[in-house]
Amino acid sequence: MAESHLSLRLARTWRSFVKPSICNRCLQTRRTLASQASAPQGQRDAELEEASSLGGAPDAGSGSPVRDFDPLKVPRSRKRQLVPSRYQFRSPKYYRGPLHPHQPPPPSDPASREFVPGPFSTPRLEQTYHNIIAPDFMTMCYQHTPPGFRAPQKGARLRPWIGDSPYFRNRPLRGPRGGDVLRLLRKPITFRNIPMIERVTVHSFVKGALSGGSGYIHVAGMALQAITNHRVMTHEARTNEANWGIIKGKTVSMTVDLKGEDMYHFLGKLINVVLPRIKDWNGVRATTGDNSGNLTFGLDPESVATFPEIETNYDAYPGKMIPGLHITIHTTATCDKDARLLLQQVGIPFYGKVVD
Amino acid sequence: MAPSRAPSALLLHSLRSLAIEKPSTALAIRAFTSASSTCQEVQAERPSFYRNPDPETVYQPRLERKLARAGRPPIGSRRRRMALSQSPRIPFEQLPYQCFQEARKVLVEDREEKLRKIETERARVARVREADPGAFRGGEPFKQKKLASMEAELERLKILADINDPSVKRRFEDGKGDMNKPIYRYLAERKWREYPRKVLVQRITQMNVVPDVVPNVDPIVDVKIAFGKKAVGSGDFVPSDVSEKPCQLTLQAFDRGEKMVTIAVVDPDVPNVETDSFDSRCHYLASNITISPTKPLVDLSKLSPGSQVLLPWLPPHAQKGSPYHRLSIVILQHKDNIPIDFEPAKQKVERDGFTLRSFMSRHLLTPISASLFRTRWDESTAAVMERAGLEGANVELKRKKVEPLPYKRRNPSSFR
Amino acid sequence: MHASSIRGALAQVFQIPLRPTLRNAAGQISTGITTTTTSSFSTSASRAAKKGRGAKPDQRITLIRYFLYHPTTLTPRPLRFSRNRYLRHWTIHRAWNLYRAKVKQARQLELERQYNAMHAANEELRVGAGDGGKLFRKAQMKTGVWSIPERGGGVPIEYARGLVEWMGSTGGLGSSGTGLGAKAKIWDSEWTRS
Repeated sequence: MAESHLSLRLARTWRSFVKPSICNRCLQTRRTLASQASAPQGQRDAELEEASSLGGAPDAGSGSPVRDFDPLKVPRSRKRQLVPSRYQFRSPKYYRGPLHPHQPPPPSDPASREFVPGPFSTPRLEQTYHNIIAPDFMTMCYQHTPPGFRAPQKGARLRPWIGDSPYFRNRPLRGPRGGDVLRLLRKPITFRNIPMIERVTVHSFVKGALSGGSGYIHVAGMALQAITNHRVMTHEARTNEANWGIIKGKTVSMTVDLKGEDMYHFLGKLINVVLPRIKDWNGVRATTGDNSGNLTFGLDPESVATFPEIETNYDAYPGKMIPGLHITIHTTATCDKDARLLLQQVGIPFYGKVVD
Repeated sequence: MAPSRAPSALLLHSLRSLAIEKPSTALAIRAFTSASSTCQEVQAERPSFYRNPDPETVYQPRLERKLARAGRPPIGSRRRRMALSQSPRIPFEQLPYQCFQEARKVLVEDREEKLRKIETERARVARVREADPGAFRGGEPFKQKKLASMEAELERLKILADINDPSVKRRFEDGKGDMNKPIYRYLAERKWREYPRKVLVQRITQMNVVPDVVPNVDPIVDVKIAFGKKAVGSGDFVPSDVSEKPCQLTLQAFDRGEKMVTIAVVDPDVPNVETDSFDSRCHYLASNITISPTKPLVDLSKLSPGSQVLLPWLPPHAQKGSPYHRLSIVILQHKDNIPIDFEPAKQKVERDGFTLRSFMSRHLLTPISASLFRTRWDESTAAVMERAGLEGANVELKRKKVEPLPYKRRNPSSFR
Repeated sequence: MHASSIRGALAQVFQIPLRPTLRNAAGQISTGITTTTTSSFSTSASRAAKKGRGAKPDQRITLIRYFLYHPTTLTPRPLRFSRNRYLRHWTIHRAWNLYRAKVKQARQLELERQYNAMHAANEELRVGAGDGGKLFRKAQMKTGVWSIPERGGGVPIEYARGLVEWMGSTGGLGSSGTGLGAKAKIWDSEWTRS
């Protein structure tokens, strides 16, 4: 057996000696012709679409049918309806993977189930951010570095294991000094990384729902929906907790994730209408935050009732069932102090000890 | 709307009485006059619609049938034709919807800017092309590299100039796109990569064409297989009487220019009874085939035997009892698009025991796409083999019984 | 409906003519709970207690449930456009994306310009001021920037309050007059349709 293998291998090597793996004539022709390979590129004016509809302004002035065009006239003048269309695309209800022949259209397509029209407004807070807050933030945090300056290199945060122990070989790197959490790095603020508000999570733990039935959940959901312009997502308790009366599987809280236009409208209402009217309120505790630029604070039910949507329609809600809120503001800042500075500029006051 | 439209009984009554009052005279007069003057003029200008219906706007079933009998089938759906017949036919870009027209202004402005950019980029390319290679630090290779990147930028700008155009989108969706233009090639490639390419890659990896026949392949050319008029998806089973004649391939490339390719149809599943393993066999091999985005069709039976076909088509066949055979079709691009020497290559290739890897390395070929279809023993295989002069149709292969390992035996001696 | 039946029973007991007045009706709707609280010698209350009926659910919660789960609040079915209309929509969508990208680019460029100007000014202060860089070092002090007003730093609350009424693009030019300051006003409450 082994002998046959050996002989096979020998034969193969011998063949490769006898006849070269690349045929010579091919190589020769290649060398001679390779210089001619770069063909000259011709005139490419014909490469653009000649019959483009974006060629210029349409001559709508002379065309009288265009001026008199009334899109509703034709359907109204029809004596009978158009015959129904035979085929219409339906977006699939569930995504069945990239290889399924029935693929959903992109969310920007109105036939998609994820299509959301809008935005319909430019919130004032957003404009303020781009026009005032961002340049001011950059100016406040500006750190001058002379031309040619290079920051000294720091050591790697994850250190290798050094020693004679045989267990150190191929071991995952050692955690950072002073704990096992690898914090985000803060880079100097330039025009590229000015923090901005990314999204806002509004969360409400409905305590009354533990004993008082589902009415609390519904009222809280309606209140949050009115405030945030979004449907809430409810959450069930994951564990039993006898001290707090929490039963596993029971709906206890709800969240709303806000982004973009809705987020800015919500923040605008919060900062300009709700927060100034809270009595004896010092502000948000300055120690809040998760060390990576996301700050949280809470509102009690009385202040939630001062949101304009609830205040104007206060009679529609059972007063005792209006929920309190936790509001988490996620920013793109990588540390809490930058996020706090940003939120101060936006108009949220802070009080108390400052820990950085 | 409905109640206001509904005519009251009184109104109806009065109308009816009006109609009854002067029944015959008016009608008679009208019939008389119209026949003499107006109708004839109209007919002189344009023949009556009922006599000569337009396939774009006809929607009465009777006229549709008439047209179809005359050999001019109506165009589009009946709903579309009905709507078209009543619409004022304003060109799409002139439709006076305010937001649409504002959007068009933005796009027109952007396109003009892109055209200006294209002009400057072209001037730059011309300047670099005429410059002396000694002026660059890296010499000629550096110049070529720079030229290539500038060409790519130019191509990108050309795509950007046209990509926001609704008429381009419409033309592409209608299948009227000109593949000489970068924008349509770009759109076609995007569409191909969105779904069909994923399926192709799945088939060639799941059925192990990729390690078994070619070492690796990143498909950049769309391959469609058809036997006569019957299209075959990648990985489908094809009856052996269908695949007796060579197939037609549509090799749709998406980048500019012509490609010189070799097409190989390789069956890596030929059972070898002596060594108890599988060999590979080449069913078809043709070189020096030129494809381009506009000329994708390659009919394997119509290639010239004197300068292109190295190995003619051998009908795919699977002996009775052998597992299915993968007929993998591999598209290989020649280096620098130079044809290979036909005669020496033809002398060297052998059908049985053909290995694509050595052929690739000998002629400096790179795989640019692959596909496959499968074949297995069916009723017509014996006839096909007989017609092709192949032996072995009367042999049925049996799986060799594998002696189970001692501890897996049903009834080991320890039980007794 | 239930409330009205109770009212009917009460009216029978007290021989009151049953006539819905506006005030009564409003009271019924807004405070649904109060209907079962009756005087001590009422017969109907004891009857209610016997049958084991608790406090009636708040009418407002019922209404909230009704509106929260009304079918009109479900996700609407996807839109279906004719081809021309779809293409118009697509054109507008592309133009909007293009416009937004341009705005973003312009903002980024403006910030970059400001940053570069700041850098040049600081460099000039460091090298060309002729005081050995003292002023530059003063300018680079960041004391209290990340603090809060309570501790003598941070951003004063007035900074944001002004944003409710004013755009800051003109700085502190004030509101009166017809200059830049007038343009910076966001909401002109004196405006009327002339």
